[in-house]
Amino acid sequence: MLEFALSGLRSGLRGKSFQAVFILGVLMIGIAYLSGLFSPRQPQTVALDVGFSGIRFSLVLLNLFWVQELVAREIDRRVILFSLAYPVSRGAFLAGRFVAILILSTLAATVLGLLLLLAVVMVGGGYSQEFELALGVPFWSAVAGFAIDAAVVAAFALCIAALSTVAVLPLALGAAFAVAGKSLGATIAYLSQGADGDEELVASYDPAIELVKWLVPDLSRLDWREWAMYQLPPGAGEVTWAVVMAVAYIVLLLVCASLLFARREFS
Amino acid sequence: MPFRLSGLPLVVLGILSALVYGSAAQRLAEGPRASAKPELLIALPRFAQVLMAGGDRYLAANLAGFRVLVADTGRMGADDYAVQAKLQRDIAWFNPAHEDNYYIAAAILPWNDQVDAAEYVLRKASDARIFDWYPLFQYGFLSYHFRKDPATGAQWLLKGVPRVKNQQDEWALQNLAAAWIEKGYDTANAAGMVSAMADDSPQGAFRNYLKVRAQRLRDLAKLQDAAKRFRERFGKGLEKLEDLVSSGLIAEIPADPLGFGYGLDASGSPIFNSTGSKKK
Repeated sequence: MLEFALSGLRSGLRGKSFQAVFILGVLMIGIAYLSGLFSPRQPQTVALDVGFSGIRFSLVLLNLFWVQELVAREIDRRVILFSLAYPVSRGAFLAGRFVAILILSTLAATVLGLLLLLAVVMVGGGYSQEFELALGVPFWSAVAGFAIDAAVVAAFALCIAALSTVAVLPLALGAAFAVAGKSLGATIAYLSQGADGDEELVASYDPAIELVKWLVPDLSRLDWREWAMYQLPPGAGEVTWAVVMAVAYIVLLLVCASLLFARREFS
Repeated sequence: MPFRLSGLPLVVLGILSALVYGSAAQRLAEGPRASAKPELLIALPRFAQVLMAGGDRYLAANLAGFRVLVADTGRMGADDYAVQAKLQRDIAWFNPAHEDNYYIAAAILPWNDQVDAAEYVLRKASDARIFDWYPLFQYGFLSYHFRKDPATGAQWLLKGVPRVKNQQDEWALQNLAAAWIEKGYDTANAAGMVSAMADDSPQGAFRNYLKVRAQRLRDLAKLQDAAKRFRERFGKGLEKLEDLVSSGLIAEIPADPLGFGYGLDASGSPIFNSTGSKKK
């Protein structure tokens, strides 16, 4: 497994799509800086807010590209046959690759986080806003939340890669999963508050959402940015349960992926 | 045999497509175009806005927030303010703690017949920003100035007192609440509060907007004060605003920077002309 993780790390860092998405991430931090300048009352908060959204978006894309590069493309190009020739289980290959993606994702999150910190400190130059940000533990806990969110998406994409014969499917379905998981919280809140009085909408979507919320995890629960932005810490129980949900879902997906992958035939 | 396109047929095809393109472009240029107003055009349903932001409520709030911030209030009509009110309600739902949103809602919406939307945004902000007394203060001011209900306004001010961090602000809030309850509504007082809001904002168009609002209120307060003296001196109410000038109480009727002008209510007291009557 260690071998797979190390080779995954090497090719992940060398991959062109990784470099392209990473540049996109850096650009997003730039956009965060600029959007802070729009705000009349809270430039730093807005820069931080937009930057957090940028980090989440970049991390999800990076994770999807890594799954694509380290697993889906290897299967597509039949390079995987060399890896599977080792006397280890196929599950170990997948687990090794997932560990590589986790490490790469943590590295990317740290670098993007540091860049965002720099942008936020710079944007506050001329105007001191009344309510200060919390840029220590609260900031890094928000970044960690996004990394966990991206890891769930990566595990889902890995599961798709294990059974898909079309190379872009993990990327496409993974992106759809990321949007669905993140929107779930807002959707449930919208429907539970009556959907702006649209009873027909509530009646037609409520049963579907009741089902979907068991299948897709509510990724918005991993978003703890209000602690850094407004010094409003999330409840300890809420954070714990969100992490437990995410980890359990990742393990579940990885188990499914290895079961599916073990039965797969490569022609 | 594979079909190959070269030589003369290729040139003919090229000319033909250029002609078709030209005539199509000509047709389109002549045709009517759906009127596109430069300011706030439409507001999508909340759910669509969240989806377009990749499921991220905070990003959806910021995207809608930028639309509100870049809209030029000088060019906006009643329809645009209705869209802005919808957008600001949406932002308050995506991220109730958004500071710019409640600040702009308080400063712009109620002056343009969107008091309900401003109240919604401020209530959400008061609940989410438990460390911030300012949304409560703004809500109080809405009740005081727009609902003409000083007693409810004062209650909201007092709700803000436990959130205040220094003694001076605490006393200021309590004094203001007491004055509202004792004296009732007073235009000059409202002008002072809007002026303080302007001084508290960073340089730029937004600050200028608030200053204009404060100036109008000060001018109105002067007119109301003159109308009171007119009644004391002549024992009757005003019939028209110009009576103040002809009686020598004021030198001239102040020009309204927003162009709506001043009028008289049924009791003969000066008021702002309705915002709907502005000529575009």
